[in-house]
Amino acid sequence: MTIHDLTRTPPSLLRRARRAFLIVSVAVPIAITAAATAVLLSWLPSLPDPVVIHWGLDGADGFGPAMTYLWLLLLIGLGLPALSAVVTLASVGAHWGGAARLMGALAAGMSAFAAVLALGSLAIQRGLADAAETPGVGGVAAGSFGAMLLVSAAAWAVQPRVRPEPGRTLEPRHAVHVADGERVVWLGTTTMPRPALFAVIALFLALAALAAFMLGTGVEGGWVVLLSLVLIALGMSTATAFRVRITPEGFEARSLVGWPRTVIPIADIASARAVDISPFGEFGGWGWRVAVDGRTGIVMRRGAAIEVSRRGRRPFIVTIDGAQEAAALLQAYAARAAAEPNAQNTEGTAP
Amino acid sequence: MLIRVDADTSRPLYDQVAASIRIDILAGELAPGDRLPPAREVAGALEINQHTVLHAYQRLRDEGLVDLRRGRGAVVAASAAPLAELAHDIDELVRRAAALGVSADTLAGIVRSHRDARPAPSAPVHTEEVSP
Repeated sequence: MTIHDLTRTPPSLLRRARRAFLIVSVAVPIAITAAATAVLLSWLPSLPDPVVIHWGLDGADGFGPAMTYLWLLLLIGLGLPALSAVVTLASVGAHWGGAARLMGALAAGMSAFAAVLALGSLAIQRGLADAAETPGVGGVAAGSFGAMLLVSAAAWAVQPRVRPEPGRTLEPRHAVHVADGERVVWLGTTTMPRPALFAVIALFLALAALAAFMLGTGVEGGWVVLLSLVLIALGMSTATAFRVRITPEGFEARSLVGWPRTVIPIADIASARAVDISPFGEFGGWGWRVAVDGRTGIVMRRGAAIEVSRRGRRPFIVTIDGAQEAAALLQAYAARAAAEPNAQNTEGTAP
Repeated sequence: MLIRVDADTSRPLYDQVAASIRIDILAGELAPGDRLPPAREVAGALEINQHTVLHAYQRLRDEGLVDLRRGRGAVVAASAAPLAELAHDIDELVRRAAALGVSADTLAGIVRSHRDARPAPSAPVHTEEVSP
């Protein structure tokens, strides 16, 4: 956006947040992975060949070269954090928020997880003549998750808190007039922007590769990744495009497959306006979101959105082209319903 | 996309739907390549028959504003782009006509007969200078 963008994070704060983010999501993983790699390489002479790379319920049952752990270290400890850092920086732009902070913290934690998992699994095998004598790996798994939590928490704490600016109101270009006996409706479709869609697909493929790797080598927890993969695929099919319609009866938004769906009757609508919002700053990403301040919404891109203020509930938001016109029409119907709750065909105009 | 129909007027519903979409194209709310919502959606929202909406879409196709393709639905045609360029001129013409006491309907009638290619135009509308 341009210099007129009022919702962007102040430059000095943005610089500080970005620097801290880069340190925890890139510098820390590089340092951890480099140190772990050095330790791993120095241990090579003292390790049995092959080493255990998989533990079943009855103990060690999968064997392979020790270098397998180096790949695990590089992929999960460095590759995934770097990928998530690039995707986060690209999507956040000048609108920093809590979601970016969380991604940075998780990147650092992921790296610690990989280092402890790889080194821990090898540490219990050092000095053994035969890898089959290796004890159970439960302690190592618990330790690596513990390390992830600990490092994530620390990485979260060192990053500055950035409160997103609330979206500004967009003035309607023209009021929508509804005459007696006339039925005016507004229909629109909102679709995830292509770059975002590609980013989601890239992340999905990376996760798929990770799941294949984990299942192939038998690392514990591979099924968790597989399960998340299925959930993500389901989520994607219901979250890439939504139809929005505004009728005298109220507001309706639903995905192309029909679910999820939100219907807000006109009687529940206090007012409607068009706003300018930023997905990452206010909602922490794309899709069907709940913002930190309690607003719910379908957030597909940065920019114009319809904000429906509900009676007794938090506002509902949907980003869509032509939001000004849509909001003006909905406001006209809301004003009409509020003015004459029992009348059917009265006149109403937008402000 | 804003669509308005008035069941109380004598104007056919399909014509009103087509007019609404034409206005959206004129206002730049719909651009070439934009997909119109499925007729079923429009009919549901307007509480009219689906065939009425299809009739409107066919009318717009006959005017060259919309492409109808099996499987892809109705898409605003590339040939609709010049319409947005005319928007300002049409605004101006209708305003000037109204100032002179000529209704939009009369104006539409004149435009229609003008299209019937009479070599010697009888109305000197285009040469007249009117200051607002």
